[in-house]
Amino acid sequence: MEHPPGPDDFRRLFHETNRRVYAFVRRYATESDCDDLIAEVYLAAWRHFDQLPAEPLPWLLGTARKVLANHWRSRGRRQRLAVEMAGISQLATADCATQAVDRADLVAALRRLREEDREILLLVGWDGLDSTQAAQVLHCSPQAARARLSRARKRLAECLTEAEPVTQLQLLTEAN
Amino acid sequence: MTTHLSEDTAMRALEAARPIPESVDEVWSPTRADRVLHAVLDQTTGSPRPSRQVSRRWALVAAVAGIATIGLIGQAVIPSGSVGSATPAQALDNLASHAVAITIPDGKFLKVVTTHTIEPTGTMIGGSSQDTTWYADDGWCWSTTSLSDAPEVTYRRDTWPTAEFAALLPQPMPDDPASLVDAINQRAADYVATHPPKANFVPPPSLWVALVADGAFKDVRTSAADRALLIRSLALLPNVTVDEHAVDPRGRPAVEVAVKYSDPHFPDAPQREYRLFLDGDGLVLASQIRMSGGKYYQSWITERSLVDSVPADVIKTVGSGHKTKMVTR
Repeated sequence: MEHPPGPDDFRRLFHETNRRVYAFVRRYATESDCDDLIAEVYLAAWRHFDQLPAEPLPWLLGTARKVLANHWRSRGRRQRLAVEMAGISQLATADCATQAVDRADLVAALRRLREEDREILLLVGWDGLDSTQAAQVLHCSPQAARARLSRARKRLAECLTEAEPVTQLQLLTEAN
Repeated sequence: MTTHLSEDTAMRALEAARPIPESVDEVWSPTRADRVLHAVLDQTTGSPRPSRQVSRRWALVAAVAGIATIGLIGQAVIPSGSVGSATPAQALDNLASHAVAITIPDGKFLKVVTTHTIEPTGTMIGGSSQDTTWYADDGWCWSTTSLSDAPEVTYRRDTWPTAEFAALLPQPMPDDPASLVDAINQRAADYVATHPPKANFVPPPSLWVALVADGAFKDVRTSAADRALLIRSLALLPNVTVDEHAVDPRGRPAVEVAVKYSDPHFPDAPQREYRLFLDGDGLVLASQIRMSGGKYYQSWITERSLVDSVPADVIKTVGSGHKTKMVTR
């Protein structure tokens, strides 16, 4: 008999994935909103435990994306983008920039990208998903995700070439 | 200004800046994560939702955990009115004296529609499912289950009680309620000991008895005497209260039997309450699980009727023989 899911399985799921769900949610929500939003994601996971695939991260991030969409539905797009960029700025690892690109340039380039480009780039580059898994999060076909990723990679390279630093003050101003 | 970069270099730069666990932990601390986990668990009960494809044994475990549809059946009756007693024992004794067996006339089927709702609806966790079961008088039934947020329908051909559930119900039944409670708890302990996966959720004795009684009420072959015995056994449970003048979630007059319990698996979680709404003949109208503080969490509400036939597509899908079958499509 297959082992039925139990609370311990759920706790294990939470402990194995919560950091990555936080890193995703924080990109699109203020620090103070994260806890409630993440709780809502895992409540959904509890209820839909039978639907979770062996690799649950794409499902969790796809659910987080819906939760965030609901969260932002009543708020302005400008505010949402400001929060997103502040989140990215906070999360971007400060000391991991390559010799070719520094962190400030990278953040500036991400800021210049279109939302859909930034979204798939971060799903792949930061969340570690492949294009098929990103497609699950974005609710599109793997082919569409691959095409979207290809375009986004090209645009990122272009934006990095054109990048000008964005100051922390700008980001904080946008976020408030 | 950065010099021209290749796409691969740009992606490597992006990947190099990805949040690392150590940096995430600085803001998303283990303590904070645990707080969120407990907030989630405080709003849940039992075990995570089991697969619709799981074994009947797990379906039983889920039912005991209070998260599976508890089909609540019985013939359509008019409540007999208030039993008008002061203590749970007196109230349930009076109710037991009205207990009847379910009768399904020849050529008829008992159709029970059970709506299972998880509150709050309209949220990610909220939602509902509907289970429709057609019972024949031989104990076999057909059922369909559909979820509000999924296109699949699960068809089943089965008996009630299942063999696993029957293992919890003493046969023959003891003569008195106290012996019945002891027997159910002993069987429950044996079942837990011999079914390790079930150790994920070990209900307290009071919940075992209430759920076994609930399940036995579903069996069309349970006699009036056994129903009465089960009703009287509920009065012996710790922390039980009885409201003779309650109404069920549909506003139907009901005797409400409430059992408070704590989930042993989550000792820090709020106390829960399992409520059975019985009609005047001791048949189940509805059940609920509530969190402490009165927050409503789940409910199972039934509507019963006698019908002439089972839909042809249901019979075509799972057959009409005495063989269990489950199909999801």
